Amino acid sequence: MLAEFIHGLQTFHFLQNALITAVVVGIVSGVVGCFIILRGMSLMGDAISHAVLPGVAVAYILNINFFVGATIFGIMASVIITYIKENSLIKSDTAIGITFSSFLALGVILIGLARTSTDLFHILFGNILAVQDIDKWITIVVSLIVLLVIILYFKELLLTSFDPQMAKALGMRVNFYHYMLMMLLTLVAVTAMQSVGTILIVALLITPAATAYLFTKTLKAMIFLAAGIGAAVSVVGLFIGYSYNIAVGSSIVITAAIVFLISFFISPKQRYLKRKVRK
Amino acid sequence: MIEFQKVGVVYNNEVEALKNIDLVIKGPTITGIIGPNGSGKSTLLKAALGVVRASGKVMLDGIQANKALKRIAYVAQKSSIDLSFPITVRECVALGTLPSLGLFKRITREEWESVDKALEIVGLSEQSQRQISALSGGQFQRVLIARCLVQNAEYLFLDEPFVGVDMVSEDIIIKILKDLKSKGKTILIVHHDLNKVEGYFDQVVMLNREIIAAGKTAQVFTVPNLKRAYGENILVERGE
Ligand SMILES: Nc1ncnc2c1ncn2[C@@H]1O[C@H](COP(=O)(O)OP(=O)(O)OP(=O)(O)O)[C@@H](O)[C@H]1O
Ligand SMILES: [Mg+2]
Repeated sequence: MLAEFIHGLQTFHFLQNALITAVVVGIVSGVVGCFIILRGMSLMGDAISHAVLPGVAVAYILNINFFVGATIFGIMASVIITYIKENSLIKSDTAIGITFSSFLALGVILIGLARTSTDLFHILFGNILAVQDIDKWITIVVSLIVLLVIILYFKELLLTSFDPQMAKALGMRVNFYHYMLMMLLTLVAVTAMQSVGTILIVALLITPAATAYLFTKTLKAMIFLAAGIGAAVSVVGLFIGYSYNIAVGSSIVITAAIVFLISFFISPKQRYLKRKVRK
Repeated sequence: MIEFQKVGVVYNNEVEALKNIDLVIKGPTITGIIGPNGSGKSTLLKAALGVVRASGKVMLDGIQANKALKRIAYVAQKSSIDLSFPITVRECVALGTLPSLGLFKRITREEWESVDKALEIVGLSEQSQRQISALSGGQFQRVLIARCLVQNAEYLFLDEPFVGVDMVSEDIIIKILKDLKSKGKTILIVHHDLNKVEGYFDQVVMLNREIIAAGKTAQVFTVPNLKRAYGENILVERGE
């Protein structure tokens, strides 16, 4: 079966595209996911990834690349959520819930109008085997940009995530870094949409990062490990999906979940087994 | 020298946390800021740092304080730091070098040496490679002090640094602070244990939305002042 997969990789251009895209998406999602979970923004990640849907529909209607439309709507959602949160007593999870469900609903309607309803399933659940060359290249370039920004601003992102009070006292613009992360999150959500679909993006963002968190004691180590896990589960998920002819996106997510589950029981931080044994 | 000139802070257009604060604190000194809960002690520090919007002015040696933030090292009250964050003790202390680091710059070897020295001073060299989640509350407070040391700022603002700290750690910290004072630093400490004020501070500021009294401890700790700050029912036992 593995031989078949490798043969497929050598033969089919679409499978090569799928593999490269999946790996790149896995890496960048793992990296950005670390910041998302450490800042307690998992729900925000979920929201933004759903909110890109109407953007995709609009892009279809206007016949532009889906990256553009999705990014615009993702940013719009993050601005709306932050605005509601900061200008009222409404808590952020409520603001997030209202915003993303409306965006999702709007997206479903718009996709219906765009008469591409056959694609709705793919947008919702991913269609990595249909990734075009252009999408692959956009994914690579966008991911490189995201990683570059994180490398350049690593210290600032570390401090504003870890100790925002100190950052503020030093006069750093904590909000600026918040929006920067939202922006990166949106870009990652749009790239990850191809791999696992809008519904499941949050899994790719959070699960590898959470798994890495269980094993590491520094942010850098966590980021590298999350990137590695993200890439690995993407490859395995693609392999399983392709070999058994099941949905690749869901295979990736389930693989990530299984890795997390195993880690949960064996990780030194959890010491779950040790505790059990001691009892 | 720190000068508060007619400083006022109003939260959400309704809570007047500070009003008309006029205060001059000369350095090098250790100054205690005391007052009951909600009296605006934390707000006073935040106003100086420009973290909250304040009317009036705060000057550091004649320069507006919020333009000289790199000269202040600050430890927030019961900080909002998530102790499960993946960061080691040594890295956490090294964050003190950040204010002087620009984009692209990495921490130099000398800076790492100052980090290790600070850890030694607060007695945490052995824990340096541990994750901060493995520390006790008092040890973590010492980590934050070490981070201040690394910042090497002329002014230290510490908001309730002794909360949750045992006597041993407290003694260590106060010794470090006195040593810093002797090296010319000016230190502001928000403190609420009235019984231990005497030996710690050169002077105290008693606060309750406005300044009740300021000066040497003995002058400030009078029964009328205490009653004005804390209400009629306060019972103070002064040690011999
Ligand atoms: N972010 C905020 N929004 C609204 N009101 C606030 C805020 N921060 C503080 N306050 C109010 O301002 C007043 C002063 O608060 P502050 O935190 O400065 O008191 P404190 O003297 O430090 O008290 P404590 O001893 O409890 O730390 C309080 O009445 C408090 O409720
Ligand atoms: Mg306070």
